[in-house]
Formats: sequence, C-alpha cells, structure tokens
Amino acid sequence: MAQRLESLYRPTHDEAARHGFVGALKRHVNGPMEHTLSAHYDALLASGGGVEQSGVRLQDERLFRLWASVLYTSQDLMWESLGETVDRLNPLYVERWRDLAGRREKLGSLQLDPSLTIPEPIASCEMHRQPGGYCHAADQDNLTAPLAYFSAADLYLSAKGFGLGQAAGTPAMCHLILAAARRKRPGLAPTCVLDMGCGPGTETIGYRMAFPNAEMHGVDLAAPFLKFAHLWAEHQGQAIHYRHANAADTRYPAGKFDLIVSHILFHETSGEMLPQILREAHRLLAPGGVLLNADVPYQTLTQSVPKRITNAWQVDHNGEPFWIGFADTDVRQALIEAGFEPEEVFAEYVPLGSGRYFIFGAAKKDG
Amino acid sequence: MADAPGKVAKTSRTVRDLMLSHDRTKPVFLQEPGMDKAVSAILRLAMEVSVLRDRLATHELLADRSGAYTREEVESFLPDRDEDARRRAWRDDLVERLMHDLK
Repeated sequence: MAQRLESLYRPTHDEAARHGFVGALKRHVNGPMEHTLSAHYDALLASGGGVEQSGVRLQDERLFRLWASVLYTSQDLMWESLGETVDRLNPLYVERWRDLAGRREKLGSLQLDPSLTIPEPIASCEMHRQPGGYCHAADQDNLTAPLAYFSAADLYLSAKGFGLGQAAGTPAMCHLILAAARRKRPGLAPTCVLDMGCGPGTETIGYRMAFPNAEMHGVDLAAPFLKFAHLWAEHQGQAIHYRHANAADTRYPAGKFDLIVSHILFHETSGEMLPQILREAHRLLAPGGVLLNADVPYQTLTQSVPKRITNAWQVDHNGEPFWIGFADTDVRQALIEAGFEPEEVFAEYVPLGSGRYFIFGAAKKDG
Repeated sequence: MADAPGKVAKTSRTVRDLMLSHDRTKPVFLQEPGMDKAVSAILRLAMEVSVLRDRLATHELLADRSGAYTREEVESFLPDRDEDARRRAWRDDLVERLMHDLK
C-alpha cells in the first residue's frame, strides 16, 4: 500500500526548523517592525511634516530601508528553504501524477488546454516572487510550482499558529467563505459550484466536502496547479472537475452554477481582467445564485498612510503587481457594471484571527 | 550553470537553480555600500543557528526521555571518517551560500 498523498508532504526536521525560522522572521517584519514604522510616521507628522512630506521622509529613513532589506531577504529565505523541501518531494509527486494520468477510472476530471493564452500579470510575473512563477515548467511533468505555493501556504498558516496538528493542505479559508455564503443564503444547498482561480485545489475540496451532493468545478490559468489539484482530489476520493481556463472566459454554459467562489483571485489579476471576470461570473450564475469572493483587506481609503506606503513597496518589490489596483477598485460599482442589481451587491470586512478579511460579491436576481 | 545563469530559469527543474539565477539579484535598499548583502548573510546565519538550536533541543529531549546517552558522551564524541566527510560537505555548502549572498 503506497503512502497516502496527504502524508507525502513532510519536511525533514531541519527543513521544518528553517520554515519555522522564516515564519518567525516574517511575523516580526510584518508585525513589530511595521508598527515601529507606523509610530515613526506619526512622529514625523506630529513634528509638522505634513502628510505627503512625512510619507516621503519615512521612506528615506534608515528604519524603512532596513525593513525593506529584511523583508526582501525573508522572501528569498522563504523560497529557498521551501525549495529545499519542494525539490526533494517533487519527484515523488510526479510519480503519483504519472500513475494517475495512466489510470482510466477517475472520480473527477482534468481538461488541460495547451493553446490557452495566459494573460498578464500571471504570464510573466513571479507572483510573490515565487521562483519560476505559477506556470513554471507547464509543459513538463514537474509540480514544483504548485508544491512551492502549497508549502508557502502551509508556512504562513503555521507561522500564525493556524492548522496546528493538521496535515498541510487541510482546507482553511473556505470556511470563512462558506460562513459568509450561509449568512447571505441561510440553508444554502447549491447543486453546482465553481471555484475560480482554484490554484492547487486544497480549498476546492473544502467546498466539495461542504456540499457533497453538488457538482464541483474548478478553473485556473496555471496548468501545473491543476495537475496538482486533480491529483489531490482523486487521492482524497473527491469528484472534482478541473478546467484549464481563464476565469473571464470559462466556456461553461450560461446559468450552470448556483454558487461561485474565489479566494485571493482578484488582487492577482489585472484592472482589465477584473470586470471581465465579474461579467463572466454573472453570466455563469443561475437566477438566485450567489457569487462570493474573499481577498486582501487593504482597500486604500481604509488604510493608514504608512500602510499604503508599505503596500506600494510590496507592489514594487515583492511580486504583487495588482495589489494597489485591486485596493483602489470600487468592487460594488464593478459588480453593478457586471450586471448585478445594486441591492444584491455586497462588500464587507469579516474578522479573521487578530485581523480581518474582505468579502465581496452579489446574488443574481431570481427570475 | 555558471555560464548563463539567466537562462537556467527557463529550463531548470528545481527551485534551487531558479533561486540562483541572476535575475533575482537583491536590489539596494540600504545606503551603506554592501549592507543589503550583509543583511542577507546575517539572516541566513541566524536561520541556520535557529535550525541547530531546534535540532539540539530535539536530541536533548529524546535523550532525556530514553536515557540513551549523557551530556558527557556528547562532549567526548569524535566523528568517524564518514561522519566527518558529511560535516565537511555541509560546511562547504554553507560557505558557498554565504558567498553567494556577499558577492
């Protein structure tokens, strides 16, 4: 009996210790160090610097430069230490992938489209500076891209103390979205669900488990992620249908889904793509269906000046090309322009850990 | 790999090779010359020290639990030829990575 796929992801003692150190470093940089920057900005402002000038001066301070230098290196150390685990485990996952690809009987399905045009910023940007980006080695039997993403998610959850004692890849964020879905539609029982930008499919399984009688679908631009997602689902005995497609042009029939979800899709797309994805979601929803998206809670008008400055730095130096673009988007207006009725549109913050998260979406009017 | 590091990124199968490609050179943030590289090297050393601490803590805990060996035995331990080779290889690797940060 082969080892279960879920237990294959197992950092060695020293790998886990490195991941733990990087997690601690990131907690420090994003927590106390950013708070110190914020206090420093307040002091500049109090000394009569004015908002704009204080922001400019903050970025010239040694403290800010040190924050940038440490944050940049923490990201490098993260990918390097995760890479050690990923490079060691990739051949094991590829072996499982080849076994699955040769199998006739499958619960779900995978449709890859080698001719699919990958839009920017996904095509050429290394999101979060992940080495090689999401589509690295898409034409090979190589799962380093989804494994790197998967391992980073595990590192972040562990660093925040979430998921202790749970196997890596256990669905986590879907619960936030499911709770919001149930608030919007008590007794929600969809028959067909779509996860847009499903990535490695770890959350897609969470939706499938929440609605075991529903047909479950996932779309993503990155072929390597979909291979991983398909492998992950089949090994967990979950029937999920994955399609290699742009969320703005899925080629599913109109009205097919009564629940459409996404998690951190919109801040990783572009200003041109965002309205197209919302229009496609509107087309795909059946009357009465619900669209729910969870994303970063950094809407510009709600952010302090120092937070806007550090966010802008993330865009310039940490592979977050559309973070600010998304933060500046009026998603309510974008949903209305996509065809949703104004009274059916929502955008709100929900508590998450010691912070909060942004949930937005809409219901499609019945009949 | 040393001939055309930029090209490794396109064909590499490992994260490690991608990390070493030239297009990932750290930008300059700090004004003191070379300080950004020093920050990288110091943080790498801190990471490895942290790894060692964790590993030692594991060993001490397990030794305590099982009564397998004593602190005195650790102090008087001498590596055999294979173990010595393993340790030299590990040190060489650390030095190589450190120099990559500093160069």
